[in-house]
Amino acid sequence: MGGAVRAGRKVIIVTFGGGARDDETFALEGQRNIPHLINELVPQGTFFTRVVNRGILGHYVATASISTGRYETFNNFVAQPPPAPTVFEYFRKQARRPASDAWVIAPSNGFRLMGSSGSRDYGPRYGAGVILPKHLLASSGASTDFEHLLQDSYEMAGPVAGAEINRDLNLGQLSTVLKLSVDEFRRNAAALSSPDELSLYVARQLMRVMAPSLLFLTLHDMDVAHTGAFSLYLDGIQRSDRLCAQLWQSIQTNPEYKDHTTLLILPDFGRDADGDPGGNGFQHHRTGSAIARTTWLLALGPDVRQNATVDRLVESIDVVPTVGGLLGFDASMAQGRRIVELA
Amino acid sequence: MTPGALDQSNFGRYPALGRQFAINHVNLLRRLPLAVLPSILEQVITLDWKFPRERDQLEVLLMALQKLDPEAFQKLAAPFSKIDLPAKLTAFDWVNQPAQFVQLLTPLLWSSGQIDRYRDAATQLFAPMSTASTGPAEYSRVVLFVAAGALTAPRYPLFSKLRPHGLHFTNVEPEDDSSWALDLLTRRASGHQEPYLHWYLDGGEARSVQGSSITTLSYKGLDPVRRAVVAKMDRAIRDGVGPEVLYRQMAAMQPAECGAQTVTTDPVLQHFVVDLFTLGAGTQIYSTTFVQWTAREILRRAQPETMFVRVAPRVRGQDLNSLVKGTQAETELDPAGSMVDADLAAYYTWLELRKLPGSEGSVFLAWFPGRHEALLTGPSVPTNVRSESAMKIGQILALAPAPISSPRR
Repeated sequence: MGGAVRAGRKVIIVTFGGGARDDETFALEGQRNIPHLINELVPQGTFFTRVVNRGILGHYVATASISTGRYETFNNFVAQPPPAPTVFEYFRKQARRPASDAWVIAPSNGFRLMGSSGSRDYGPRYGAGVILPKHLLASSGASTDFEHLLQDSYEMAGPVAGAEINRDLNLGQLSTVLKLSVDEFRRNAAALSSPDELSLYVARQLMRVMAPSLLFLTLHDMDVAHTGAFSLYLDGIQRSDRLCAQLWQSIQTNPEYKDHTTLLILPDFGRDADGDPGGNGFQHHRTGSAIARTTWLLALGPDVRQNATVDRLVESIDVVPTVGGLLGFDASMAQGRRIVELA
Repeated sequence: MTPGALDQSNFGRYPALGRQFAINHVNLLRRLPLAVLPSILEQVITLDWKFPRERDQLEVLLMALQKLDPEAFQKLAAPFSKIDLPAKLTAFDWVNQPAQFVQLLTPLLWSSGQIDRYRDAATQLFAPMSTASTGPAEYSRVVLFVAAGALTAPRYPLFSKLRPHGLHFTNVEPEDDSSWALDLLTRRASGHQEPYLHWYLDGGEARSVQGSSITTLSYKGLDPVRRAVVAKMDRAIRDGVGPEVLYRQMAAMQPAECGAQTVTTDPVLQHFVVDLFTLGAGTQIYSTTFVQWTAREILRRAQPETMFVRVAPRVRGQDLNSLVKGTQAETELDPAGSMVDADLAAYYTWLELRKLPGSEGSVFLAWFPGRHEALLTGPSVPTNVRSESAMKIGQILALAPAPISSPRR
């Protein structure tokens, strides 16, 4: 059950919407790819070694499931609001928080409706604002110089679709939410090398100017694995590792966040195991095998035990009830359970 | 229609070999639950374009199922009978469009939480295909996996996944990266000349090779097919289709649409080549992905006795848009990334080799001349052992106990 709403507490959830295997992250041979997580963040937090996703292993539906605390079953490739209330709606409705206090920073157009559910009792009036950094960039009149930042997803090639860009909304988010001029945004984006770097840049700007209590950020560069180039997948993991450390540093240097923010980092799921029948190893997440379903969670924050490891099995849908415990709301329709080590 | 209502007339639209195969096995096909039958018909309807070993494997599977006593058969079939299929699938023309049926079934299994049970049941049902020997088992397989000399990433720990399974050489003397392998391939091909048993796969441009029984594929040589598939992708993306539609469109592509007849006159190989680019993700844009996927498919489908794989540098990784649109200069290469790709591709090739019947007698040699490192696996070859002695690649190959320089009879 949810407790009293806790004033001043903040939660940032970071998912790796690419699926990352233990082989390339926390397994012994993978640790060289995540030096920041291993050496800087894990010693400051509690690490859960077995996080299982029993749902559909598609990035949008899995991320939506993390945000609702239920295994959603809709078509992964159709942008739609999740049927069950999201963590943002529980939080905003029960804590009576304004729209500016909950945000999603999403990697691709397919995620644009994940800020609020189709639930009759909740819905958009309690939802989170969704920022699509690539759409911001495309709306700013980005030229071919920015093409490397405008890959919509890695499931297939394709640019950020012009017809689906709400230019007025995006320019409005730039000026009124992020407090950035088009020129300033474009100038800063020009120095970035990947979509995830753009997402982190937007997240940090949002933290500076809005300081939302609940922020959900999905990193996606590592999903380049779908092209079958192992080295590019590793590059994506290494970049995510660096960006997570930078985000934690931002939390520690921002007075709005320092000492009262819980950071939760988890891949949405794994990827297929080497040699899985019907799969092609790291490239996809199609087999539903144990390796593809199992990942990890790292929690950091003021009440989180440091340098601790938890080997018991938790599920990715446990995140929402846990955030409910941290922020003081009751995720009544979530199927997951509160992670007792955290909340 | 239900499977029980199948008769010979239902296979009239199947190509000749597939039709005859289906007719021969119609009694068994009638007994299979609808949730799994199209997965088998998908193999039957394309039988005319399959390699001989694939045809043999399918025959082995159906014969194995046919021989089961009723109780054992029921035990294998029961999990599929419990799958609740919606009317749109039961009413679907699964006889003539089995692949499309499977494409519709898969998301249903995921959304209904039945995918794990289905996968386990399918693993049991299809087990005879993976364990049965369909070829001359006494014939040792040899796979040579070589990275072009340009591929090098100095600090990357090469063979980290393969080392526990073989003998690792860290001081291999430099020499031409292909001649010795092509010589070996030619010698073995001269001894056993059935088609599709000896392959040369090159991630760049293929070198000239002697021997009509050697099947040669190269990334450069297949460029017309690759470009045709990429053009199709580009058009579909510009039309705004989603991943599922794009997948269906690509899976439906036929050799004539892709210019496959310009690269080979062999219809079986034409279909194989088209499958590589239409069903393999990333094969269209990265030569390293092409090599990894193709090596796997050659092993899985053709079950060759000799395969020489050579990995060349791929283009530098950039956004997919540029790669599909062809706006990126294809001369901008990434030798370091390519070496990392090739290292894992070597491991995946070895894994696939191990799945084949008689794998315990197989020899696998991977060589990265740019790093002066090689790794050998095979019967009685030590595992998890490192040698720092200066060696030539020919000396290393000679350590393999099987008489691989000529075919064993």
